Amino acid sequence: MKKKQVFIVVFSLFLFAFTCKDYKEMVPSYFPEPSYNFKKNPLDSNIIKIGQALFYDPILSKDNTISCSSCHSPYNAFAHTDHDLSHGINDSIGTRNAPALFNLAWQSSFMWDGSINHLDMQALAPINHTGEMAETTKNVVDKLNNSSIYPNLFQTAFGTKQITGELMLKAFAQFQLTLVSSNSKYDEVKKGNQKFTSQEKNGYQLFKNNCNTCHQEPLFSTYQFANNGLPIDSTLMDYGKGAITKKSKDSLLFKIPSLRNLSYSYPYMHDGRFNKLKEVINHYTQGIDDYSKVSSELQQTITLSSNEKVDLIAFLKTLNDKKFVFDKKHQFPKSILLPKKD
Amino acid sequence: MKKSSEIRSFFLLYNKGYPCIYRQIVIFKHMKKIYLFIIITFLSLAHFSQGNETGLNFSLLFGKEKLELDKEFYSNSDTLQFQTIRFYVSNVKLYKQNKETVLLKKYHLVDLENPTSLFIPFQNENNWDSVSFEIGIDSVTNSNGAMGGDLDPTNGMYWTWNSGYINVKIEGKSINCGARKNKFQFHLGGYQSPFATLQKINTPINNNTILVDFETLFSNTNLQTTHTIMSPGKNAVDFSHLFSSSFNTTK
Repeated sequence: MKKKQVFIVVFSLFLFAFTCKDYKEMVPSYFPEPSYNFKKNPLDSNIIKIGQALFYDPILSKDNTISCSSCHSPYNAFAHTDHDLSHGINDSIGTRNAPALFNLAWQSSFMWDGSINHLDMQALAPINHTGEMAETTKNVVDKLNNSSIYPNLFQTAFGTKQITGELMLKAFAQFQLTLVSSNSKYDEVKKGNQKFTSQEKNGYQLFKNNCNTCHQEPLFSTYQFANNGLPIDSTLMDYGKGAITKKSKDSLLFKIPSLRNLSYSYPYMHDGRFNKLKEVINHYTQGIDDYSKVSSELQQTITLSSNEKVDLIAFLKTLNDKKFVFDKKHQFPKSILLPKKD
Repeated sequence: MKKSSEIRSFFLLYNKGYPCIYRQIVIFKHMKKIYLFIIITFLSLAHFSQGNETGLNFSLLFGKEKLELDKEFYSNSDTLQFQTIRFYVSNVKLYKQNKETVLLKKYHLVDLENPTSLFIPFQNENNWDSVSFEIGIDSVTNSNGAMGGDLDPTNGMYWTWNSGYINVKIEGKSINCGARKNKFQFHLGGYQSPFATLQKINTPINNNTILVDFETLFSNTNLQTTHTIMSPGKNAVDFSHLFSSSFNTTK
């Protein structure tokens, strides 16, 4: 019995073996330097494993019903397909569309309004939000300390069974850091392994001429904030970054999302108002009524013929990273959360 | 040395009268008691050593009275009760004749509910002339990611909807308070310009004690109209200034 258990632990250690070296291998040479400070939270396979378990575990919510993956499904590039606004505890509906999660090491602020200033601290927001998980940080840490799974995992990873807020958040961050999307067709072309079709090539040129300032390659976002001319939804009255900073210049600014994996992560925009890519492109070409507050990058009107729109969409679809979306490594950790009983 | 001899005599006491073969069993049986004995010995040693310890004291007052949670205090024809009083002090430095300097503690959470937090121990020197510190957490630390100890977000001093430490948390109720159920809540924080709330204090000290008078703060606050501050902004900045003026060590 004991021997078998030891073998399983050792074997799974090999299986999950994940070091900084692997991270560098996941990141292609044309990616910029990440902004996350790995020195303060060095990646470790055992810590990543804890983060993954936490991500899929509803223990984080007050009534043990909602996990991170409830709104950030791996099959939707960790967004929530079909739901314009995010869902939470007791069937409550939020005010924003759950964003896709990948390439987070290159982002230094989080949420559509930039209210979170560090990846480590991000998980605190949904845990404590009364319409999402409705828990308190302290309660979650207490529940983890009393669980049958986590103290042993923390012992292996951190050398202590005493779970603290700090260690929990570091584990969360580590799993999220491993969500790197860099295997789309665009990436294969960049690496010289594949070629664009002539339509995709044409779409790429149109992208570079019209979209690249905000959705800068290779991450397909500058991760800055912009007003893209969407009229305010009167049922939500969401002023984005302005509501957080209380500065009028930040009013109606929202975070620029990456265009990677967009076929998996509809609906689009901070309130999920557009279901189809075509609607998004039509917004930019003829949907902006009032240019007075629109960010400078969009002041020049984008004009595209219907053929050009088709070509642009063909290129945008090369940013879908199927390998990332269906990667078992990021999925529900059955062996930890649903261990086989002897 | 003392401890080991005590343990040995404890063993001898328990082994008395039992045949050799049973000794191991007896020791095993009483293992729990032995552990308890060791723990008590350690705790009492720790207790005695604490009695001699010197350190920096935070003396929280309401006028001339010692401030206590849930106790009634009277000021400006109002009756006040406090439920929570917590604040961060950081970069606590001690000075002697403006020359010698010691960084006593980088971050410290003062929590009235936890009396030991009103005391930061130090060694060697009994009397310092002056002290400097900041009330709150600086902007760099605020954007540094997850940290532990006094900075662990489980302490309830971190905003989850808008990243940043709550520098000062004062909650309670008063008869004149204009809020629902007469409850006032001041959560002061914010590290970004123009709403940075960090307050610098540099002041002489007597008997290594910092006096914080909450009567000063509340006699200058109209709780009828000012009772709820929960986010970074101008109100938080103004109230943080007011709070820093209640740090008066030379009374």
